[in-house]
Amino acid sequence: MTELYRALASVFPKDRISDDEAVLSGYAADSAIAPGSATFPSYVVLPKMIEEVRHLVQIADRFRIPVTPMARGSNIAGMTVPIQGGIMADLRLMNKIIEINQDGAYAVIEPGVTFHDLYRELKKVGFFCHLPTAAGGSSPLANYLMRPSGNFSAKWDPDPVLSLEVVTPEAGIIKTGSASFETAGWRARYHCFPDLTGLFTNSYGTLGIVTKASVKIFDRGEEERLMLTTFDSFPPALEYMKRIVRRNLADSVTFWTWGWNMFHEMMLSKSEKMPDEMLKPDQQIPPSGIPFGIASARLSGYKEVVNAQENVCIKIARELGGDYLDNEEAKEKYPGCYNYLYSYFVEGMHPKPGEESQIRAGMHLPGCLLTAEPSKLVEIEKFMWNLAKREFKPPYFFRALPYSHGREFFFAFVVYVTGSLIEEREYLQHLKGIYGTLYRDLLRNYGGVMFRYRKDPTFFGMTGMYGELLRRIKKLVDPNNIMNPGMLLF
Amino acid sequence: MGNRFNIDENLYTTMHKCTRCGQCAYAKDEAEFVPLCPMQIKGKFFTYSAGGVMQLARGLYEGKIEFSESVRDLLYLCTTCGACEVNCGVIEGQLELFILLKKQLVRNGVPLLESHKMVVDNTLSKKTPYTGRLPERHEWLSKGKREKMSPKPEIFYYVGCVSSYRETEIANAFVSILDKLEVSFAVSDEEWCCGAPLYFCGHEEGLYDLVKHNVEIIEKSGATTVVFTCPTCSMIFKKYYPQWMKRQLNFEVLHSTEYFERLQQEGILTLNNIGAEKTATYHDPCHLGRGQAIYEAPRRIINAIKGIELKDLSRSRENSLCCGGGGLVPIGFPEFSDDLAQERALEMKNTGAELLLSACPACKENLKIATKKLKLRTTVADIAELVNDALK
Repeated sequence: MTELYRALASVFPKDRISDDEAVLSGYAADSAIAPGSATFPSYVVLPKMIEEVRHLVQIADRFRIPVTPMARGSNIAGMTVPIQGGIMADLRLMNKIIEINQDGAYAVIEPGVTFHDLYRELKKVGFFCHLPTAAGGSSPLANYLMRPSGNFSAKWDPDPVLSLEVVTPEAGIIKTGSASFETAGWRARYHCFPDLTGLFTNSYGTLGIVTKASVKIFDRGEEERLMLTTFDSFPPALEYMKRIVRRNLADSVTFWTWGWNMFHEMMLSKSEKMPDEMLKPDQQIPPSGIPFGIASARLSGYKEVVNAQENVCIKIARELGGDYLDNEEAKEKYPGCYNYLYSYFVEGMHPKPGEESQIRAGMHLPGCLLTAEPSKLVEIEKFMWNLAKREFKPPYFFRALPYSHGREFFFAFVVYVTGSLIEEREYLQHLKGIYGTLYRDLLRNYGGVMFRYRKDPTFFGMTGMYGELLRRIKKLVDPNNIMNPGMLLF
Repeated sequence: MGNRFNIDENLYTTMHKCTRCGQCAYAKDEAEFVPLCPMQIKGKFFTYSAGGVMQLARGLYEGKIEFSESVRDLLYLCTTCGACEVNCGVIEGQLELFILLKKQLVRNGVPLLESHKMVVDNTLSKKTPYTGRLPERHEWLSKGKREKMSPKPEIFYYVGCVSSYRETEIANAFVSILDKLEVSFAVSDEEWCCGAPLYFCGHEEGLYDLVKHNVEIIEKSGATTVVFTCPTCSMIFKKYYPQWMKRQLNFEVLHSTEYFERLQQEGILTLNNIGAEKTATYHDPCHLGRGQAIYEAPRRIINAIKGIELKDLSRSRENSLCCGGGGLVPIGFPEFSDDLAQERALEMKNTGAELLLSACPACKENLKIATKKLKLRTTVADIAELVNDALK
């Protein structure tokens, strides 16, 4: 037994600590980790309370060993894989919903709480939470710390985190936002001093372990409605979205190209085989009789207001050549699509977990996710289609998805390629190379910024003094660089 | 990195699709999202789930870890309940992967748990997993009933090991039903274990002999329908026998609840009451429900019995919680199995039911032990026993 194990065992009972390689293997990779590149932790622990987290960090700091926190572990980007080994802090047993404050419209939750847990409890009191495209078993706290787009991301800003409780790498406990004052409660992100919640946002566990957060919750209101509009091409759809966002007409708005919609039909029919149309070489042109895409907007509030908003949305759509798609008609013509959109945007629950990987015929490549000036999106869309045509080996399925993200736009491109990981090893390597330079090209030519950090340190250098200041902060709070090293910038 | 299992490369590709969302361990009804996977409930670490085992399989495949006793101890905690297969939205065939890994453990010379080794040895030598001095396989069958067996039976009753040696009242009840309904039937003293214990242990050697033997005796009987009171046996026969025999079977395979329903529809079975009004709840056996998608037949049968009020459990049908009785877990990890059975028995008791029903001898056995330990004043019974009581 190592000295480190003994130290950990002084904090964690036997059934919440493991150095068994079989157990450790579950933490060594996720779907983003390339074949053969799994990295194993030396230990995994399951804390239940903040004091245990504090002791864990103390031990890690004493032994100069990395700690990788993981809330529920659900992601497709390798963010909770211990790149440099060390101790895995699996926070799934810290799963209490501490408070649902209807008056202030926030909930205080621990990292192991899932979307399902939170949804279920909020529904009982007529509220619900911001829902990104994460699976129901994933952690709202961890997801929100990465500012995901979702069903409330236009009107309410995709930033549901208010105050935080964090165990710092030197085993201190800090609270941010209003919670930093002992008696002020968890209601707000800002007070009279600079915002420290923001420091931990998008820090991917490199600056501390978040053990509690207050997050915004939303009153379901009198009326919730799904507003659907079809468009024949990308530019008018985008213009429609921009106007909706600028004029604050919807909780969120998204444009789903025809391939996505066919994919949603597949989900309903549980079909495993992708229709040939989804794999055709020119996916910019939809099959006959199918609209190029459907814009979905979530409207909510008092009935009179929702009616007015809907009328204005219809007016804008018509001005731009779009067609209002009645919910009943959508239900009949595109049942899978309707089912998905209604469940996601109105009900506030994904109809199926992990649906993004459901297309079993193909291999899922990490998506290209970025945010950009709204004015650049049409060009970026064109660029990505051209890239696909040039670099991807048919048959592949290419999806583009613009999504309201505050007042800018989140843009996702996802590619499914057919074949097995082993047969297509060389091709995948080629694509990896393409993705390696893609974000640099997008940033240089279109100002598109990666939505999730892709472990390419050159980007850090492009941020000037910002990066330098972050480095200094990191050095200050984590002098021994124990928190998730190798994950981000440090 | 090599293909260390010699497996289909598509399966390796599939392993990479797991997003570790954890849904495999929880109920499909997302509004509830209650834990279902026994491994996850017990093991707590993420790896104790089908998603975790996907990563484990990757590690094994890529040679990052070795087949070892710790891998074995993790994999054999799986009760084969199949909750993961129903609840994962991405990957199918998790149980097949578990079995594949177990086979690899055996092929790589990792010793079975001592208790599992005994099961394998007994199954191969005595044709039943049970140990010690055993009575004759069908000693439970009274002379009178034995005499009523037909040389040209309509129905072949495949009793299975649990009902032959442990829960014999189920076998007696079923034969009594056939007798009351004047259905010509046969049981065979030459019946052997269906092979499930070997299959769940990943032990391939000797499996085919059992399968071939059972198919031969059934086909020799001339019966065109085989009825099982054990859903594990019927699942193994339905799903795997044709695969292992490399041909279709010359007989139909039915679980007793399917058979009762058929008899009802044909007007042969009319259910009365059991002499008292009782509230009951029904535990969906994993290998009957998720294993064979039989959820409604048992409920319709229970509801057809006058005086029985059926109260459904919140974790039921596809979301049923395993009683801990499957996958040889009661033999390998008895305490874990007991814990699960007690959790389930309490859940059943909390519906207010006096009668805890199931349609599986292994579930009955496990739940009976649990209710005894918990000192619950309830009766655990199989649907076949209830039907027999309702047939005056």
